[in-house]
Amino acid sequence: MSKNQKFEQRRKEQKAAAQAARQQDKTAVKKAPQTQGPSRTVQKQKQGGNQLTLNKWVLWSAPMVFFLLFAAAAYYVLAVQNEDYLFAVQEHSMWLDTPQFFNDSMAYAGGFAQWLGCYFTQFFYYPALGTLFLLLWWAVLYAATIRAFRIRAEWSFLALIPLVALLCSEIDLGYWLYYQKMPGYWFTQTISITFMMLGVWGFTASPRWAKSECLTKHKWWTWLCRAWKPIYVLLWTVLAYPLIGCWSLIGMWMMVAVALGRGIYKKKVGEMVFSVATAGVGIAAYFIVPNCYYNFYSRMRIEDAWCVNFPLFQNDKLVSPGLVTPFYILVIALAAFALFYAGKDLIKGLMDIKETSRKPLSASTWQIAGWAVALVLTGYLMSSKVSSSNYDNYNFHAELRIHRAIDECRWQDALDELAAAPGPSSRQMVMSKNIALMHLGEIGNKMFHYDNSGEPPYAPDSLAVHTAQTCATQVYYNYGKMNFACRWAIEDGVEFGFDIDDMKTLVRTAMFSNEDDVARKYIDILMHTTFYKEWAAERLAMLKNKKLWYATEEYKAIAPLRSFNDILDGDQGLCEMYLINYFSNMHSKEPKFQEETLVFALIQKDIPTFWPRFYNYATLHEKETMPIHYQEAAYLYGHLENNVNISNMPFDQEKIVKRYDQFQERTQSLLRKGMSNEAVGEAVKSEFGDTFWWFYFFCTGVHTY
Amino acid sequence: MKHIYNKVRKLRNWMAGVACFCLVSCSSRPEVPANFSKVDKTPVIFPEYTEVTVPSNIAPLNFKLMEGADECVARFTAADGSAYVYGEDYKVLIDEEEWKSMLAASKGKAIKVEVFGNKNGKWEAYKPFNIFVAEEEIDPYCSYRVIMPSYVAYEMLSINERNLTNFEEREIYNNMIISPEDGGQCINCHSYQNYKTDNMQFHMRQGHGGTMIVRNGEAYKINMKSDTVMKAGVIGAGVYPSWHPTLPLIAYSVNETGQSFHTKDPAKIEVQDAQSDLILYDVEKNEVSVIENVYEEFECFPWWAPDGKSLYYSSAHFVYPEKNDSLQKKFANDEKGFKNSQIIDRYEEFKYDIYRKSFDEKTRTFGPPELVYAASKADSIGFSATFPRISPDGRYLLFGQGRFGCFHVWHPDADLYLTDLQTMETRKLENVNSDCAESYHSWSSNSRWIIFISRRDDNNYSRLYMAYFDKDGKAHKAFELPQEDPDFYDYYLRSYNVPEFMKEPVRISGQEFAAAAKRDPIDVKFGGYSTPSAAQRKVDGQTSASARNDSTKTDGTTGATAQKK
Repeated sequence: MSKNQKFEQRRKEQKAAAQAARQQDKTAVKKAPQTQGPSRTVQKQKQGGNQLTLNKWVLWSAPMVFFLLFAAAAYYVLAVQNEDYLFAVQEHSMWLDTPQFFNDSMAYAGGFAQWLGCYFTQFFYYPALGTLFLLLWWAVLYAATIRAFRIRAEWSFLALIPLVALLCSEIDLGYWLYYQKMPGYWFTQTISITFMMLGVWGFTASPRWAKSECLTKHKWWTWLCRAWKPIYVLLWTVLAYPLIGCWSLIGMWMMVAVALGRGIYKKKVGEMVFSVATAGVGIAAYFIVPNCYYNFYSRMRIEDAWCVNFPLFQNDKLVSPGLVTPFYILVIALAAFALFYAGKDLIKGLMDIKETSRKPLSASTWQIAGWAVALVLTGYLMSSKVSSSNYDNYNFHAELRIHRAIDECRWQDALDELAAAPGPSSRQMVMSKNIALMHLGEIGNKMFHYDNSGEPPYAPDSLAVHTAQTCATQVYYNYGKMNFACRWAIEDGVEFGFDIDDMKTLVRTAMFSNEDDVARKYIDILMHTTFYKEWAAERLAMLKNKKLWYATEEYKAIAPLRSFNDILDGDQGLCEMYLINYFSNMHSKEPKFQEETLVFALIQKDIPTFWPRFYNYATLHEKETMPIHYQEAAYLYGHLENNVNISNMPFDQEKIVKRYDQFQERTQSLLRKGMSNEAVGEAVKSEFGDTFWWFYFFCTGVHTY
Repeated sequence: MKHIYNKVRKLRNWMAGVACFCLVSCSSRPEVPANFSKVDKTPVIFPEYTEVTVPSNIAPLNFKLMEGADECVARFTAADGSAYVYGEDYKVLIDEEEWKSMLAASKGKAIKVEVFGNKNGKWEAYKPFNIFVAEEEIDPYCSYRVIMPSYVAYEMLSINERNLTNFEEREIYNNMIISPEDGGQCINCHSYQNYKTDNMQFHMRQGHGGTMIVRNGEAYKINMKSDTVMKAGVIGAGVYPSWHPTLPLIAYSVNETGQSFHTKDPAKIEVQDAQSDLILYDVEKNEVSVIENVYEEFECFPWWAPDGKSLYYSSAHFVYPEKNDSLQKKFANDEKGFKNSQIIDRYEEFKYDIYRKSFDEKTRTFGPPELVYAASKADSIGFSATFPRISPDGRYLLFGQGRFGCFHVWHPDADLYLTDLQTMETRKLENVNSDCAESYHSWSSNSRWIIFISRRDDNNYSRLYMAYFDKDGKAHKAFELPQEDPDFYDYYLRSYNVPEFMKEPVRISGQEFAAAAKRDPIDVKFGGYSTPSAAQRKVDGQTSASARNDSTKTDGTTGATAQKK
């Protein structure tokens, strides 16, 4: 008998034996329904008709119900609570449909996941749409986790733990939005982990498809099946590392755990050998694969080879362990699933638990599970109030909304946001408020109607937030300082990766500086995005027809502020401080520019700087009413120092003269009572907080950053 | 399961069909349109390759038609009459092998290019143009630094190597391989001995800083800012290098560099030196000696003559004033602030001339400075000449000239100039300059090609241009470094600088450089003074270093804007 014939005969025998066994099973079920426990078929037989239907439905639907519950909550948290944030997220990311962008992404280990991450992040342009994509990925991850580790339906809610961790990782960044460097972070991790779990699922599921009839007839396949575990682990690590980085190594460890756990206890020697070989291959791959790829990637540190594409949120100067926690939790949860799955047989064997002792699903089990899901979600939502797992700092979100409003020249909307702030504003909000008022032409009458104190940005870790990264490009642009706006767009692009926000700034500044060629270059780049093509096309039209550009509200608002001469200068990275010093030391005959010199002189509270700019303003606006805050300042300074004769100035009797007297009387009486300056300030804030006087005396100790 | 198997088989067959189709489609060529109208103008193409002269071993000059056409076709006819047609949408992508055969057939002659564009279904034929093919080849490799046009931050900075005969490019060293984040590393000017890579160097600042030397193929790092060197009054580590053509010597300028920002000028940045001197590093002895250290002279950009018997360099004369009452009051205890304010306020007064010093190879000493080109007195307003580079045949001096300053890459008025060292006549180099900055030029080893950076594409991003320089000393129209995809430059957000020709690739990998950089550097010894006058100045206390009150910042970014890194 030839080898082939022997093989064919053996196959037929195996097939016959399998058929006989199946037949025997069916007979046993029919004959002895009371003695069979484990199979669901048996459970169905044990219970009555209605009960059976309910249980089947519960079993089938429980994982989906759990996920839908989670998805509904996640949608609310993301697309509703964090809508402004998600829009900002896509503005701080960029995806281009060019081969060059793809090649650049692939120059890093994990670059493919980052490229995909950038692709999906752009959908946050419509926060709801981006959220739906994110939920779809999470659904795949959830299903892959359940399938990979054969998590029973009633326990499938546990597979939500990684998703909750990922949800936290999406929305707990806060100001790290400006500082994190991983391209497409908001999807990159989800995609990497999903790929990893699909890989693990492939590994745990492969015994089934490896034994499929159509393949086992080939002899080479039988040999391949014997060695499939170590080959799979090796191929996985080698192929997945460039795609998802270190997540391939984490996945590989799960495979090794599963191979060892399920391939040794009560297994034949041959299978044990291959399981041990799998572990050996895995360990070798862990050391060799990253080392090999280190020599392949010219931009990867050897220290990063084992953690590449894992978000560490740390550098030489700062560290944010809190932001990494969700990923640690996620890894621990998945590792626990893998270990439990790997050691299930072993545990049963050690504890002498027989398959027959498995109890049928009780009605209360899924109820408990359901409650557990609810608890997990509630716990998460509760934690958002006490920790940064959901960074819901009001000022941070308000800054994002105001930034967008100013970007779209919706000055009044920006002011409305500021007015709605329940507490003290941040410096960024104050700067934005001044920009909006400046462009509305109301700064002289309203700049002190809003809070001017400037809370420092809330960062729960060691992150030092600077306006240079958060808003300098927009602020400089709106004050006509194109070179500085361009500089910070490029500096931030170099350090944190170029994004939509940078590109828009570069287009705008180049247009204002009449650098048409480079403006066209940046417009071309934006033309290769998905959602900013129209914006770019509009700019291109303006570039071709400058009249369109000159007719925009944006141009009209900013162009007057460009009337200054070139000098060599530097801002030391302190945007606001630079603007204060710059404008308050400038003179100009251009009314808008000149008014800003006066405004910044007020902010500086420097009396000698104020007077010449006040007179210049009066000259340039001869027949206009002097704005109220300038009158307040002149009246105050005139009284503080008797160097300037203000007796002939036509101050508003009600709003200035009488009110100043009231202010003096009220504050002096409180001070005489022994109240501190701060206490007096607080006491009179509701009455006089909208005046320059209050700002001058009580708004002190403001720090810019 | 069987039906799945069948499906897999069907999928396999389908994929094979697709593959065959792809092969057939790829091998099919576009055809020159049968009907077209003639347009009496040369086509606007990018990169601009019309009527350029190229070496006979250059990579294909792929280009795109910029006439708003939906598709284009180009017919290339070599000197031997062989013709090839290419066209893919609006791009012309040339087959590498066919290009080589066209170049070989057209040596000393020209390739005729006819371009046809399809606008709204109607084909137009533009006036044909020529690509002239020079007899002389270009050095096969070129290395350059690529950097985002950044100001202070410098992540993702690398020295790359390009094979000029094809499109292969690789990173010789990328700073991200060793220390990203705030401890990042700035890498700058690389230099080779005689176009070979067994002896080369580049400098690294900040994280794992030092000077990387490759000697006889081995890489190691030295510390030029060792205690003995600094105590001797050298103001810092070497910045702009030049290998002696035969001896194990590297001449450097040492610079105290800073940058400030234009508030309105599109030039955006002014990079300036507050001090600079010249030093000589003996690679064998591991010793540094001082070549020039005059306080009021800003010596920079050393470059050896090809015979190694003289050293050319640029130098500006700049005098810090005595502090009057107001200056004394403002900068009483702030010498650094005083100097910064002076160089910022008077930045247009920095005008560099070109000098040379003779060099005695036996005694390893330099002679006194000899003025070669007085740019500062070239016109009523004066100019500034930088980056002297002597052609390997020793005949020509190529340099950059702008209105002022030393960092011409940021000066749109900067152009390339040429001095014939036989006649000492200087002229603006014809055919290669533009309205934007030209700088960082370099000669090929056969003196027939020059490579330089130009910002002519968009006035912001520096690109590599090459030009043929014929035996009669005439430069021909420059052409941009060809890329496989003509769209490449549109989306490339990095600038090229310091291009250097090489006869061979660098054999040390980035990982090996990183390993060498992580090792402790070898401290350099101080070897005295290579110029007698420099030693005398040390005795008299008139050196740059002794005049400096502030000795903390010796190289790199200084001044008002260095806060970020």
